[in-house]
Amino acid sequence: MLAISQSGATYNYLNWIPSESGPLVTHHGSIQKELENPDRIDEHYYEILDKIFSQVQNGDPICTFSLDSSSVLFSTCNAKDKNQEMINWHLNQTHDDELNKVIDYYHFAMSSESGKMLNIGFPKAIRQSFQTNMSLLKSKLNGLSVGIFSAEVGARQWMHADKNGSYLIWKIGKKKNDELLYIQNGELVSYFSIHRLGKKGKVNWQFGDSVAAESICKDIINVQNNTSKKFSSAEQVYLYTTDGNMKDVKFFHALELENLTLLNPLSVLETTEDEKVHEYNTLPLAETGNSFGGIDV
Amino acid sequence: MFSPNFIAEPGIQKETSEESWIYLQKKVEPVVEAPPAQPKEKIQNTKAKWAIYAWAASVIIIIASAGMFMNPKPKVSPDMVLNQVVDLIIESGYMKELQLAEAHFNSDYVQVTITAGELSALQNFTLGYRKEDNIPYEIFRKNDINYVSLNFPWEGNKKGGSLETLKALATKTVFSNKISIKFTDNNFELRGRSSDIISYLLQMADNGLIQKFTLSVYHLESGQFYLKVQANQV
Repeated sequence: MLAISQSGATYNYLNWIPSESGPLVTHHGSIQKELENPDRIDEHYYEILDKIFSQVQNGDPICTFSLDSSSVLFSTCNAKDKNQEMINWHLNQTHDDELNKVIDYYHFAMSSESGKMLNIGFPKAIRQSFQTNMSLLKSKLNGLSVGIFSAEVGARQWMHADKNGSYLIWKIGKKKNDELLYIQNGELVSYFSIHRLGKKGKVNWQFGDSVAAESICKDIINVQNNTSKKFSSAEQVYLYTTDGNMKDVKFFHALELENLTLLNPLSVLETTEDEKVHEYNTLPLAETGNSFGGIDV
Repeated sequence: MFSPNFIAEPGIQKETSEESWIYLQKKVEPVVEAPPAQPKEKIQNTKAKWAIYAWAASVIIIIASAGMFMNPKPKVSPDMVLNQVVDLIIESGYMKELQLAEAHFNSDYVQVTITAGELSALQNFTLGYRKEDNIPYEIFRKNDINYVSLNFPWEGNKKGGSLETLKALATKTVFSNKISIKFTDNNFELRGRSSDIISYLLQMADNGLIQKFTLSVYHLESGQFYLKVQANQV
C-alpha cells in the first residue's frame, strides 16, 4: 500500500506491506513538483502518481492520498441531529452558485455537545482528476483525505491516541503559524490555527469551540515560555511538521514534556531495511495516516 | 472522531468510509502448459512408459474435443471495454502511430476503429493483449491509411436513460474551458479535449448510465474529440 501526502509542492510517500507483526515499511521518500498550469491539474497529479509508482514498483498500485489543506475550504454550521435542511440553508447563505459548480461539500459531525458540523469543500476538478488518473494508471485509490485530518488518523492507528480522554494534533507551521485539532471523548471539539507570538500568542482562525481554542493557545504559549512543564489542556499532544520548520519542533521536543509525542510513523512501524530513522526529517510522513485507517498496528 | 474520505459522495458523512476507486487491470497470465508430472520412481520398463503415453494421449483428445464442441464466446466485462476505449482515447493524445478514429457503443457490441500510417503498428497492436481476449478484429486499408476494427461484446440495451440525466451529469462534471455542449430532442453532444470526454464517460459509468445509452466517440481532424449520446429506444 502506497501512502502519499502533499505539502505544497512536496509529495511525501511511504510504502508498506502487511506482515505478521503489522505493517512493514518498504520505501519512503519525497518528490518535488510545482503546479505549472492550474488548468492542467489532472496532468499534474498524473505525473506525480506515475513517478512515485515507478519509484516504488510495488506490483498492484494501491494507494491513498492526502491533499494539502490549502486546496480545500472549511466552514462550520449549526445542525443539531445532522439536519440536512439546516446545512442546505447555511450553504445557500454562505456560498454562491459559481462556487457550488466547482466544489463538492462534505459535512462531518463535530462534538455532540456543540451540535455543529464541519463543512469541507473539496474541488470537483481535483476529485475528478484522481478518479481519471486511477483509471489511466490502472490503480486503486483506497482513501482521499486532507492534511492534519489524515495525521489524526495516523495518531489513532500508530499511537492509539484515542485511548486518551482528550488529545491534540499539533502541526508546526511557517512563521510560528500552527494548525491544531483538539479531540475530546472521540469527538472533534475544535480545528484552529494559532500564532505563537512572544509572550501572548493569538488564535488566527477557528472552527468549533472558540473557548477551547483560546485555552489551548494560552497553554502552548506557557510551555513555550517555560512557565509550564506539561500541557494541561489535553492528556496527550502529538507534534509534527511538514514544511521543514524543524527548529521549533526541536525546541519543543527538547523540553522533554511528559505528554508530548512526535507524530512520526517510522518511530512505530517496522522497516525492511535496518536503517537509522531520522526522527525529525521523516515527520512529514505523519500526513500519510489515512493509509492506516482500520489497520492493526 | 471522523476520518474524511473524499472518494465518498458529497453530503453528510459517516465517521468512516470504505469507498475506493478501483481500476486495477486484470492480470492475464500467459497460458503455460504444465509439464507432465514426473513419476516419483523412475520408470523402468517400456510397458509402463506406454501406459503413460496412452493416458496422456487420451487427456489431449478429451481437451481438444471439448474445445471443438464448446467454442466459448469471449467474455469481456463492460468495465474492461470502457477501459479499453478510455485507454485508446488517451493513447491517441500522445502516440502518433496509433489513433482512435471512432468508437460506437451499440446494443450488443462496441465497434472500435483505430488508424495507423504503418501496417506493422496495427499488427503489433492486435498481437498484444487485446488478442488474448479473443476479440474479433478486421484489418483493412483505405486511401493509404491502415485501419483495424475491433468488435467488443457489450450489453448496451438497458432502459431508463434520459437526456435530463445527462444534462444533470454535465453540470456535475468539471470540464476544461475548451468544450461545447449541445442538447437536441434526442441527442447529447459534447465536443472537447480528450480529458473532457474521459471525465464524462467515467461519470456516466460511475452513475450506472453507460449501458442505458447508445454512444459514439469520434476523434476529429482538429485533434478534438466528439461524443454523441442517444437514449436507448424503449
